[in-house]
Amino acid sequence: MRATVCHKLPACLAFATSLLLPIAILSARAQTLGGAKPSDQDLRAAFGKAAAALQAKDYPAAERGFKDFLKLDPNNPGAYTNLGVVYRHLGQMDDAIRAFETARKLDPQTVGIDLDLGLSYFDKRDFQNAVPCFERVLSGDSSSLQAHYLLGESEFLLRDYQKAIDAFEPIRDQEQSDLDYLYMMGISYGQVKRNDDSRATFQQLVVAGGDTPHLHLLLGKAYLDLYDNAKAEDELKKAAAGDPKLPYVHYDLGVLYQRLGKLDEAADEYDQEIKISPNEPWSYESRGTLWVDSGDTEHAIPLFKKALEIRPNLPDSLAGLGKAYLREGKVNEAVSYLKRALEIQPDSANKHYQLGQAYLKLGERAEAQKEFAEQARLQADARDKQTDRITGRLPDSESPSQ
Amino acid sequence: MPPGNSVRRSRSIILLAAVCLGGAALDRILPGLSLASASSPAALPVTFSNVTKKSGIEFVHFKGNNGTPTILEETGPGVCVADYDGDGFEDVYFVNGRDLYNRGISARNALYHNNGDGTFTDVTAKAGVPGTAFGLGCVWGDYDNDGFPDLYVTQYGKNVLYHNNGDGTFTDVTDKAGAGAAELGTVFHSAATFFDYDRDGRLDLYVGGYADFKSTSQRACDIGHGVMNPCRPMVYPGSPAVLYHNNGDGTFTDVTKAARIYQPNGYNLAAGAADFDDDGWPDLFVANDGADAYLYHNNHDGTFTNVATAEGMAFTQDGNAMGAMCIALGDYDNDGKLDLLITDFQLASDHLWHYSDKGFFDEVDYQAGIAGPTKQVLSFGGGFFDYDNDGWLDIFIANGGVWPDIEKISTSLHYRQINSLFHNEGNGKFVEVSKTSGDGFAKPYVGRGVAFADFDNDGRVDVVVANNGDAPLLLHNDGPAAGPRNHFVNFKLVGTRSDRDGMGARIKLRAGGPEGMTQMREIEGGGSFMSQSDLRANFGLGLRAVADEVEVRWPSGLRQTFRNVKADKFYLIVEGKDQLQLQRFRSRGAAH
Repeated sequence: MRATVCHKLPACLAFATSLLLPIAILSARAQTLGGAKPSDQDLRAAFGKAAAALQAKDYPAAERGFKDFLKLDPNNPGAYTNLGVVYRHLGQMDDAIRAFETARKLDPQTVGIDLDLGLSYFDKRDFQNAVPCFERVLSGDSSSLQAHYLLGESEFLLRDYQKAIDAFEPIRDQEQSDLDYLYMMGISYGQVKRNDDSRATFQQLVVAGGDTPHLHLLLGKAYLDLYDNAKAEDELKKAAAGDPKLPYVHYDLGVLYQRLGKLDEAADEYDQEIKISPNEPWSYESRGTLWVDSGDTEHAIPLFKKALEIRPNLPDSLAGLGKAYLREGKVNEAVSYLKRALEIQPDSANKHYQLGQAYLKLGERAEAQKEFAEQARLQADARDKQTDRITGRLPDSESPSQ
Repeated sequence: MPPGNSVRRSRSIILLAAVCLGGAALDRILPGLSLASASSPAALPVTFSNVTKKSGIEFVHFKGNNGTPTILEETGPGVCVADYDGDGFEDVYFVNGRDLYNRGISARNALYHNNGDGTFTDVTAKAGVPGTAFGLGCVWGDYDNDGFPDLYVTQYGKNVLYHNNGDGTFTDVTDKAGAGAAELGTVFHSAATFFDYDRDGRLDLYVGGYADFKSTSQRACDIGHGVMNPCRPMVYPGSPAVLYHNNGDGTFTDVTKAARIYQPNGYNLAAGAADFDDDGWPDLFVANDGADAYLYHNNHDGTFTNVATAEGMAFTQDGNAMGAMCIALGDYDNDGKLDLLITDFQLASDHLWHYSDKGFFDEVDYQAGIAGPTKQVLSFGGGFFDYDNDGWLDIFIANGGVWPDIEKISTSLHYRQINSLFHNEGNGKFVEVSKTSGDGFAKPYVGRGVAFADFDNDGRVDVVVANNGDAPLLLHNDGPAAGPRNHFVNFKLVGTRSDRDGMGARIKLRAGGPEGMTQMREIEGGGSFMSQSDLRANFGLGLRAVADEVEVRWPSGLRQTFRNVKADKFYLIVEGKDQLQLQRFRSRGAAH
């Protein structure tokens, strides 16, 4: 099955594979239920009911429906695939991955499943596991624009810039006006010292972006990352002026102001972003962090919870709740949230430290020491890695220990 | 970090790309703009004047660089104050760099005698304290209890201990004392502090080690866009510190390993000793640059246990290691427990820890209001002092970058920076008042070490800042321009059974009746950034003209209480003597 090219629309990402697999063929594998083999009609009815719920975006009903179907036909890869799609909609990425993995085992020939699986890993920020999925898609369909794009982006995020270029270059013609694409390419060329290509790509980015808010947003982000705060502010303000409702402009302004220590301004920007993008968790999370750092757990907790309602496994929101409850003296709750955060980010030295602090407050010194030891080990690893690539003293926001 | 749609993904992409992209390309694409200035804080009446020139201090720090400075040349200096000649006025010692490139450039440290009239005289040559190598920091301590503070200077190479002969001269006794701190291989020494860890009445000595930077080490690093500047310390291995036990015969013994504080990979930049858990024994705080901070709890048997993690201050509350430059201890909320300030690198706020009732340090810099204003500056030395004598400890922090070329890669970060002054509002919050506190906060410097002292004995604490590659900054506390002046009371301690300087003694002061305030000071050596302040304890009393009760707990265990202590006096408390005496200020010829 060929995946459609829809990488610019997140809603599209979850539907790389078809909703309805040919059940007439697959039903031949249906098992007996209570001694009786389900009829094709039963299978079609059950599948149709679940698919209808999915199309109606009634995800809990769709989940029940596909699970019911799988009781009738336990080896149906289509049902597993669609169940995976349902889980993606529910934000249950681990369940989605399990469903897609099962589907892939049952039907290794359908490359679309790999695309969904890769996307699920991608959304979990598990780029290492996402890469082979996209590679399998491309080995079955080398022209898949979406697989090229996502593979390139995954490699980019893994900082393997040459591999990113290798994945991106074949789709340059199709993506020559995609600002995100040009941005990643420009950076990747710079990283592998192809400076002329880098410069040309950035020039192309500016031309393609024109005086659009999107371009200003991208440049603002770039300057933000370069710690050129004045230029970042200039660009982000231009983006906001051009399109006051452009998603992430106010979020990034919030990040900038937070960095500059202008905490009230940062809070205002996050509040604005929440109004513009109420279904995105990031501003809730950042605003919650500001509240909890200011000692106001009463305001912080609902914001973290809102972020987690949108995306249940955000490690920083979970840790934020842990921190807030720790401050409130609700140490058991804090431990519970910090443990959940660590299930998602087991390599976070900081979260091990925070959990250790929580255990200390519970008087569980042995558990605390375990966490501190793990923190120390991770930080030592990070330091070793960092020493290899250190060039200066600016803090590395993406240090493995953070 | 949010993954997802195109815009969102781009944000994560950019953040991951960090400083290393071909970012110059972006610079060429769009011109930069300067940041808007920050909003002005509310004005307070106390101002500080820059009186450096007027005071006759002509010292200029020589950083010693030959082109792009190295981490060594960019790190110092510290500054330390003490009344070395016993005339009642605090003198100042400035530490200097050296010419490490055989260019024939002469540089030395400088001891300035306080003349008591607002001026200082360079007496280095007469005193014989020029230093013996590239200097970093200094501390004073009367290690032989002869009544004259001795001087210890940390250096690149062997350190130097100057014994104060009591006649205005000093003798280099480093070798005789065995206190050069080179025995564990450390070359790049940094902070030091005298403290009597075994309470035998003699000052012991902790000497910190920083990065193991050698003449063959990498000299500069790319801080972005190919700009080469000093490397961060983690580029080099760390160094061990040394703990010396004072043998009481003019010699010291290295007890680092026996005391269980041997850390081969330390990056110490500040050290301070204080009894954080109020068990009567001095503990040791050590701030590391880029690694966890240490809190060595005194086990009362000559050994220590690092309890920093368990006490909550090894890392920031989020678990990050600090680029820690300064240790300061003080009871800023007057709850009877010592709180902690550690300064941090730029783009990271400074850290204020409140020592909680539950027995651990609780980081409160956001609640206290120092997080935001300290985020964009690179903070070095500083500490607590009550500049307006309202009875609440305020905070001063010296700021300065470590990359002279930072402005080539950033329009918002600067090498020279304005220092920070925070007023304690008395409710757990601080308000930055730098911009309204006089011309002492008008000009940016490359600030490093800070010492607090009442140089003119007017009851108001002044500040001296050692700047890298520049003249120091002597800030005179002018007091309020108008209105009533708050009262103060000042105590100098003289130990008899305890160490002569009274280091480790704790003074509690109660004023204003049952509804009044209680304050506490502990006499501490070291602290700040490779520096040391006036050991006298200055208490602000607000409008109260008398302190109801003053209690001193000496390191020996002796407790003395004095009642109805009149304000606006400089008292001398001698261990075991029941009567308060007055400090004598010789140049003015009268007791105050």
